[in-house]
Amino acid sequence: MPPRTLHPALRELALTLRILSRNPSAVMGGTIIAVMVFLALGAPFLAPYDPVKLSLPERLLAPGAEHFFGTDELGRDIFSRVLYGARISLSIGLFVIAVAGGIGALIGAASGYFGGRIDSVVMRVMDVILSFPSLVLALALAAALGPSLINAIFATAFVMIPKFARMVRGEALAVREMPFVAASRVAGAGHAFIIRRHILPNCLNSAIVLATLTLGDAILIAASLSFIGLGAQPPTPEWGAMIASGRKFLMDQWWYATFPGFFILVTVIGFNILGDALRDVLDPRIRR
Amino acid sequence: MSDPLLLVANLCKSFPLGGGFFSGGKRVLKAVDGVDLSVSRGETLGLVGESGSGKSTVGNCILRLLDPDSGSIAFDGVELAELSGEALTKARARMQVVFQDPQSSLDPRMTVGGIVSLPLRVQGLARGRELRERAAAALSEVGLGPECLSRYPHEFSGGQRQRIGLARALVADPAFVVMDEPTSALDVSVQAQILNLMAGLQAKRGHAYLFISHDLTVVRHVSRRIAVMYLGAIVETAPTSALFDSPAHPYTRALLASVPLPDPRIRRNLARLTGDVPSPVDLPPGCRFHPRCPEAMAVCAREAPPTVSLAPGHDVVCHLHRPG
Amino acid sequence: MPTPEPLLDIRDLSVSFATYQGRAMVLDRASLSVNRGEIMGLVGETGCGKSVLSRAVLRIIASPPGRIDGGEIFFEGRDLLALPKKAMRRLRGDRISMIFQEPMSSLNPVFTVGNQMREVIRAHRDVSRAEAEAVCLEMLDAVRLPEPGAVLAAYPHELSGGMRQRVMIAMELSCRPALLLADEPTTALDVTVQGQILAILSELSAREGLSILLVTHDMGVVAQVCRRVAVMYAGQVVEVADVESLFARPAHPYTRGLIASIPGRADGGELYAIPGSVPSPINPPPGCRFHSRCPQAAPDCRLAVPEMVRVAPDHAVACHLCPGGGRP
Repeated sequence: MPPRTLHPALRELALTLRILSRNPSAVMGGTIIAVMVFLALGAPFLAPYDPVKLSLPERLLAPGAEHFFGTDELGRDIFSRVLYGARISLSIGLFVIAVAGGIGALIGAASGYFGGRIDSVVMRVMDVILSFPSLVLALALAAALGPSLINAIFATAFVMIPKFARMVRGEALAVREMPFVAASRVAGAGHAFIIRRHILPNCLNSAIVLATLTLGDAILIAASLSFIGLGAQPPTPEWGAMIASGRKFLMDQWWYATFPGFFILVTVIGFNILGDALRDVLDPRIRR
Repeated sequence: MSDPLLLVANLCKSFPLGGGFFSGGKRVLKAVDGVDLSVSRGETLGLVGESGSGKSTVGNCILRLLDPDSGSIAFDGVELAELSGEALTKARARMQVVFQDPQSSLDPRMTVGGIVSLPLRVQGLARGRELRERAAAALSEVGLGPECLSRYPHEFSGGQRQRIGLARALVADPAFVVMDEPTSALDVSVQAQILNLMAGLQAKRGHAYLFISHDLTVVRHVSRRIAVMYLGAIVETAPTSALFDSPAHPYTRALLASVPLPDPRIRRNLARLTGDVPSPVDLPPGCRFHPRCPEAMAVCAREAPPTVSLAPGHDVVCHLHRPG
Repeated sequence: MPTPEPLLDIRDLSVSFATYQGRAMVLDRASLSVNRGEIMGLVGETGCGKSVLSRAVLRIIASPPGRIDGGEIFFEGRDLLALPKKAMRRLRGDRISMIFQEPMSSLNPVFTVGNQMREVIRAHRDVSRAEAEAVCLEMLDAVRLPEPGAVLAAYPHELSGGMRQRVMIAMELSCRPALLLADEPTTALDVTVQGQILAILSELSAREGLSILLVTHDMGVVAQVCRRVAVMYAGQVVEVADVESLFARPAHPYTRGLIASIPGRADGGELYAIPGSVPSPINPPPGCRFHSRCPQAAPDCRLAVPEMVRVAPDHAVACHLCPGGGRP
């Protein structure tokens, strides 16, 4: 008789992890992200200084033993600020993806399942949103809502919804043709039941890939909004905001803008590499 | 003759073929064109045909997976064709389905217990522990133990998955089950297990089956009566032995002659019909089979053939058998 | 009179595949032979290895994850497994051809049928386009396709399944090979179309002396078209016989079970169903692979894999109980 029972999602996860561990890009991306997560979680313990504590006598110090990444114009330790910035950026990314993914998946699943005119209308709306460059649209929304981190998060999430909606809608179109959906309809299941129990769980795989790929984008957009002043407000140690403040000092105090910029770069690359590897691994495997 | 459980009259279903902006008129695929059939309580009606015959569409219309264009589907006195909403949901409790593909007929993300108990849950017929108990009971009727409840479809073989599909169809104790090619994707030894199982369950519980298949040998084994479809219409209906002993319609005869018998001493010409199975898009005038019929007459190209009753229960739609 | 040498002689072929759960022994010392001018049936259920066997002859098994672990395949006296790749490529399409179950995936959808057929011919013969065209028309006629000119100009998706399969047959036979490997060629076709294709294959074999290895799971097809049959189970060849002998006096318990499970031979009533299911090729059971499902299994059956033993002039079986021992 069949071997150990495991929820298919967990089983796929175990198999996927095993394959990923042999893929160099996946390992690299995964390691980068793991390091960032570690730094983010450990910030309260790892940061040698309070990120918002001013210390004017120590302003604009170069990187050294006392301050690994130097200090900014208010004497705050940049290393500590970068660590706390990791928390903020990763949280932003997760939150944005959760909101965009949740709403986008629901829209996509319903649109694909019902098809017909509902599908046409909804997808046209999604297309309109997608036709704007994401940063520009996010900017406009954030500006309209007012400068704050929460508003930046919602603006970014809004801009990412159509990607999830399109992807889940495509999957929903395939899943709804499956005989098991027909069997449930024959049994008397209603639309809500089918979308909730059949369509959404079966779209999970591609949603995960998309989430990983767009996490990097989300972090980048949020950082860009903060850079312009529409996102995180001072004294929040958000990476984009730090780069904005550090611009003025770029010539002589290169460390100020460079370290946060470097961290953004590495984090986004990490998510993109992992996402690409995940896409390669998950797609053909699903066929098996 | 007891009053039939299912009575289908003049069922029609067409699909428009997209022509885009540049095509002239709209082309229409007449998948089902005026089908009459009946199934009595506790019996199995076999519905046989090749691709394009419309047999699966008939099944889908009866199950209301598709909405028929016209015609009547009377199930135990209730007219199904027009039902919707609550009334349709209630009617569905007594009618179930088993599909062909063991891979895709079970949701890979649900446990077997969840799958089998789904009809009960959706109809509100049971909840909580009773769901598990009834699912376990259904599984044991198909020869699977209760440990399967928490397992997932991927852990089972094709034959076992068809059993699970069967358990799902039976858990709510339906009166009627539509089987759409239930054993076509299975190996012959597994098919034998499933066919035996179905026969045993029918004998015990008295369900009626509509057994849709392209495989004549299987249909012969399970059905008491058989209806043969060609291009959207039924061309012959007969009790099984009569159909095989004295097939009346030329298509039925050609179909039977093409089936390779597993007996090397009886070798015959398998290529009785020339040409391919056409698609029901541009139906010929008159009898739809006449372009390929070895016995076509002049009238066959002009008039639609009448339904002739050759014997009680044996009807054929053909000019050849017209009385007089 | 000495029997002529078989055209194809597979000896002790073993093939395995690497999977995430381990190494799957898909073929285990399988042996069979095909004589000139005959249609040989290779029958078995899913997972018995019959398709892998036919692909191994043409050496088209993907090399990771597949691997030929041993054995020899003699064709016209030469061991194909020992041939250099270039020589093997010359053989394919020219001396040995293959048709598959799904003709749509064997034909390139972006080229016309005529283009693809001419390409095959000109790959093996040094002929002009006009000469190739003439051969195409001749072959399409041989497979009884009406309006061969229109067919040549058409794209694969414009043809029906039956027509595509006929085109495949015409294409594969255009260089007059000695052996045609047919892997479930009619499984995906309607029964009336299947009848036509089988009639064409029989006719071509009788008329041109073409040898065919017909892989199928359908015992009816085997009974109607083949002269000899090999039965496979779980990667092993368990019985080889001429077709009448196989159906009249099946010797291996699996063959008997298989024949008894076919509906339509009994009339209603319960079918014999072989209990249990096919063992996984990853950890095959010791000894005879069928013993756990065999109604006549003896304790010895678990110990050693049975060898093929001749029980009649054209009938061999791999079963411990058969020669002498158990009841046939």
